[in-house]
Amino acid sequence: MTSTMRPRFIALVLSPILLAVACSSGGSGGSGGDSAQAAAGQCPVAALDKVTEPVNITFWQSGLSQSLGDAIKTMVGNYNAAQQKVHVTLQFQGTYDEGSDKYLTALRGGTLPDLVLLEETRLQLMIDSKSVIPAQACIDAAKYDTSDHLPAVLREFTVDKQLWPMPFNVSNPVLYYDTNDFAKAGLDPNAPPKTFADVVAAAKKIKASGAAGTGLAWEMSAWYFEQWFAKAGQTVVDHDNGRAGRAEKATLNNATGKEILGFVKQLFDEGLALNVGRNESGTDTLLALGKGDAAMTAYTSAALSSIYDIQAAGQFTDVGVGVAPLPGTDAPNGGVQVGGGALWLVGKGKSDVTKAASWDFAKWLNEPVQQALWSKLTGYIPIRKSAVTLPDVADLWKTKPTFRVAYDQLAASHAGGGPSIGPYKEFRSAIRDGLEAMVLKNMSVDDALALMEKEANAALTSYNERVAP
Amino acid sequence: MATRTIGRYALLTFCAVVVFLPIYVAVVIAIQPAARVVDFPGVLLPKSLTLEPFRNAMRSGNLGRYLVNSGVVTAFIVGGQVITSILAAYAFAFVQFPFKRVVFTLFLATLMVPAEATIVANYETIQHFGWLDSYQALVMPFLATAFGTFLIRQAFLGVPQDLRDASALDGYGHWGFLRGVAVPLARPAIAAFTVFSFLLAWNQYLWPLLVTNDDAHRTVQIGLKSLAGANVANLNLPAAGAVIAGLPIFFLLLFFQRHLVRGLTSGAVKG
Repeated sequence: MTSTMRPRFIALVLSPILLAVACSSGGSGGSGGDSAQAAAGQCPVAALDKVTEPVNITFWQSGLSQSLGDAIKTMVGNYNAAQQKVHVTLQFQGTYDEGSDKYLTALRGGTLPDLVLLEETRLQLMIDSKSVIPAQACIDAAKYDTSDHLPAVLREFTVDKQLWPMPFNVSNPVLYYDTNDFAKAGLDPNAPPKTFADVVAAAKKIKASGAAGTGLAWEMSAWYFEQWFAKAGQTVVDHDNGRAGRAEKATLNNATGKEILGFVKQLFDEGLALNVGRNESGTDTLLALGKGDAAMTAYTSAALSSIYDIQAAGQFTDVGVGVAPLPGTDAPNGGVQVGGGALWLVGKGKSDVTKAASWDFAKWLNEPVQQALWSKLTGYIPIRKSAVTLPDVADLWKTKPTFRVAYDQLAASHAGGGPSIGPYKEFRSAIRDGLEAMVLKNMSVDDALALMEKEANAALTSYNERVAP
Repeated sequence: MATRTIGRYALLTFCAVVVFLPIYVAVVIAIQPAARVVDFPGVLLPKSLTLEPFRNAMRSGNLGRYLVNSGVVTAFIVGGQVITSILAAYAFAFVQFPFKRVVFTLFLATLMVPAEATIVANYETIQHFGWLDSYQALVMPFLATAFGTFLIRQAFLGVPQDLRDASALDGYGHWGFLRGVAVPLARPAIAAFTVFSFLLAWNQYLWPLLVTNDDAHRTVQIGLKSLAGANVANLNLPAAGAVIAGLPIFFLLLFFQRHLVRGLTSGAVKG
């Protein structure tokens, strides 16, 4: 376990530093990529038309392990078999963190991939790396139509009116609840909680009736905190979450922040929530539901497939799987945001045909048919509206309507993109520090918010000084 | 007397259980269908055994090829470290040269530099040589180690002065003394270091991930990582992979156990 923890810790501390060094040494480190760099912002989509033999491109994926790793292998295999112009070589690069650290290290003159899949939290870091072509350049050059994409997905990856990476694997947070526990507690399983007050009321009934140990299983994660800001139509950093200029200050210490932390504090003060810690295994909150320790939890929609897999194998069959939109305070300009990975087109030192080939593959992965298959194989949300009418998705939704909750929730979202910031990891640590101080050390809501802001601002300032002095 | 013996055995049994339990859990999870994994504690009493997880792990993690690569890389690293450590230790123990203590202290000081601090510099060196995606990249940065030199030097210092004088009288030079006397006497320390070096080399993850991309050079720990995920429904897959990747270490320990125990106790009976 420690061997997997250490690299993660290093990633957490190192990545902004790696980037700062990579950028400053960019001038000398480039190996004959000067002309390519000059044209880095352009996307030569037509270059592929003239090729006579297959163009080989390298695709780094990180974060997709186990069955997800097998699924991406299938997708790449399908693409290679479906056409003759491009051959994609898939290479696994560890966790999302390790993948992005490896990319930043390779920026120092090493071998860069042609296409790289990274988590949405790496958005600003990758823009600052100055090594990628914005997908927008290809979209404009090819007159590619994005009207069929979910708007929330596009917004997540758009900074300064440019779509940077092509979106690919997308999920969002939902409320999982045990419908049987709800029935036992005298709650309507078809009317899951919608607001913070609903959650507290339901948790009280569940606890009082003994249907489950307590109301909600809670993990110390910044993700839900960010999502609740987004639902309320609020940003978490200034300059419109860093989308209209570089973010300089956190915007956490306000009425929304107080409401969210007040909710969390009430849950713990009244014994209505079970703290599972940082949930490093990614399973602790769901296992708490399975074992009857709690009846509700917030978690990524991407886990739904594995929940059904486990039940199909005969475990936890007494749990009625309920899925609902994430409860919280809603605003007309709010909604959930995307979590997941996107495809970056590498420009630094790449030839025109290579760039065109990367674009072709990224475009192919965004086709409705591929998105439907990808969704079926993995449980990620299809990012194309027309994908949901295809059999791969439609049949699944007919038999298991719970799968469409996350899609509908995202389709209905009016929230802008999440924070586009370089020190995302440090930002999340800051939020988690505040949450932990409040829940574990009984810090007040105001003090916890002040702590979060202080740490987050320090991280933003430090990053900005290094990358954009 | 009897109660003390019972007490000792109780303590030993407890320690053995603590050490053995994680290994046991990994093995029983690896040989059962995935669904049984979440059935705790029922999973600890294996039933409906299967080898399916091992087959899946070998395929999905590409472990076959990666095991070969790990074997090659580990063999070169261990061989290189043992040879360079013995030679350097010999110099520090038996050869007189100016500033010996200073040099040795500087040498030891490298132990204080964490591997993470040198990783980027090493990457640039390897990249400069054009060695990315090669066995050299995986082996070269690890051919010398201050720890091994220190360990074996201490063992060499335990070689009695009389033996050195005797071998000098018999006409042995440095080389003859090293092979004929010093190394055989320091064998427990060398064996202990070999095991230690093997473990470190075999378990490397971050460096191989950084400098390799193609399957021809990647090592088994990277394959293992591709098996690890948050899906409980597949927990037996990483468990099976871990068991496979752990087998060479298991056999190594079986083989070296005798030397290791001697290495641990050799200090106790000295003098």
